[in-house]
Amino acid sequence: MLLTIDLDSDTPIYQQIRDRVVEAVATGTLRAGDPLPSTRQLGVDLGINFHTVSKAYDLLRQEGVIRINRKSGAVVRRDHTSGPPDPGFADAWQSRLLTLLAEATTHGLTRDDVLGRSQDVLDEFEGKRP
Amino acid sequence: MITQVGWLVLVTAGFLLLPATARPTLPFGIRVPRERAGELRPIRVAYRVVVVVLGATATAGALAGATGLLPVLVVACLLAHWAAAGFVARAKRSWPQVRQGMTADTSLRTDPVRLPWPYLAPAPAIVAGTAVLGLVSDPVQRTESTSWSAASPVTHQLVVLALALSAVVTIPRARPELDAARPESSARAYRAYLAGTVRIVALLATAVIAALAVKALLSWRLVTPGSVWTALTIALPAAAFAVALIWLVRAGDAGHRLDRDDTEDTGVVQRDDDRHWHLGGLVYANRTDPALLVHQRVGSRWTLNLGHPASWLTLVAFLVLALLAN
Repeated sequence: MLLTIDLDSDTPIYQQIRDRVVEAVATGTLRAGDPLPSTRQLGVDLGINFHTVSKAYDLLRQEGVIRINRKSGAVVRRDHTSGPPDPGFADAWQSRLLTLLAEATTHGLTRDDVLGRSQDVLDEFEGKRP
Repeated sequence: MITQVGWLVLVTAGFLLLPATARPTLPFGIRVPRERAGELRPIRVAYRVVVVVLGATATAGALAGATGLLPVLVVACLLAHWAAAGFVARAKRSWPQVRQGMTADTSLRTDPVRLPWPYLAPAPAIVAGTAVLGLVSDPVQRTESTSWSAASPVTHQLVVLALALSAVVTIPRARPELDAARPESSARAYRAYLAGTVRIVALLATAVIAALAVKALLSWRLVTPGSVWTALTIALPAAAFAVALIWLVRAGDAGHRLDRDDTEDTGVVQRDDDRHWHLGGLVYANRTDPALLVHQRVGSRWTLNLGHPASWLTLVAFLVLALLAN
């Protein structure tokens, strides 16, 4: 998995790491059971403090995307083939979607635009899967 | 005089070739956006002209009978390189700022470049073979030397083996030299470069160890001294060095020539850390960087981050080892 972070972005670095990992799982670049580098190693490779990577991994663990073991380190916990989402995920996701859809509506995107673009993104995820 | 002229020509050629081996994004050790690299051609041409003039002057001086010109030429060429870097930095300041980023290839950690066992295995076998031969043939009595001096080829072999092993284990753990503007192609190139470089290190070590084994046969008087054996002690490492040189030229600095996919562009450029690099991209010191080992900006080598406390401990450890070895 290639992880590129934009140092001039308004999005915090830990959030960018979290986003890139979730996107990699969605596109099939990372699959359930795949290992992630240690926080120290990824910190070295990106030239950032390892606490920043720890923060991203903690967030991913709380969201159920990865699990962290003392022996095996960080491992992808689930992907699209792992069955239905965890209980409560859909509701939490919908509450975040609310803001995104509100932005789209405020800026004049029509229902068809929103659905079409969502379809495009989902197609892109599926198109990238091996 | 002929030797001095030969060295002067070699040094001049080396400094002339230096900009050609550099990455397009790091001319003279200064980080620039890839699309701007072409604008720096006048600086490269001026540098080459200066190096040719310096080399020709030094060679003419040597032919006229002057001595001690080699260090003068090296310093003058280094100053020319440093001045060119200054001109690149000045040109860069006039360009608009571009978004900066960093990229990492997690597969280099989760599926790292493997140790080149087929290339490494002969080296310890030759060391063991030389040691057994030494024990069986009793060189102390045969050559009337001390046991320490008789064992010196084997101890030298062990030192070379230890250095090679530490290099092939350490190099893949250094921070990969990727380009945030071209993550995929630079990651492909770097993996190929890493795999090739650790093989070359193993090959070099094997060749030097084999040459030391031949030297042991000569010094233990197990073979009749002759030009063939002497030539072998030189030819083995020379052949390996030639292969290494061909590889380094083909791969370019940090393997940038191994993947020529110029279509990729993420819109961000690799983080500009010029202020942490000193002596024209040879010395790196950055306290905020957690990396201990980084790839040098100029040349296909790795260097310690002198801003990392562990780098000083490493240097002290090497110093102690060198003093003990003496």
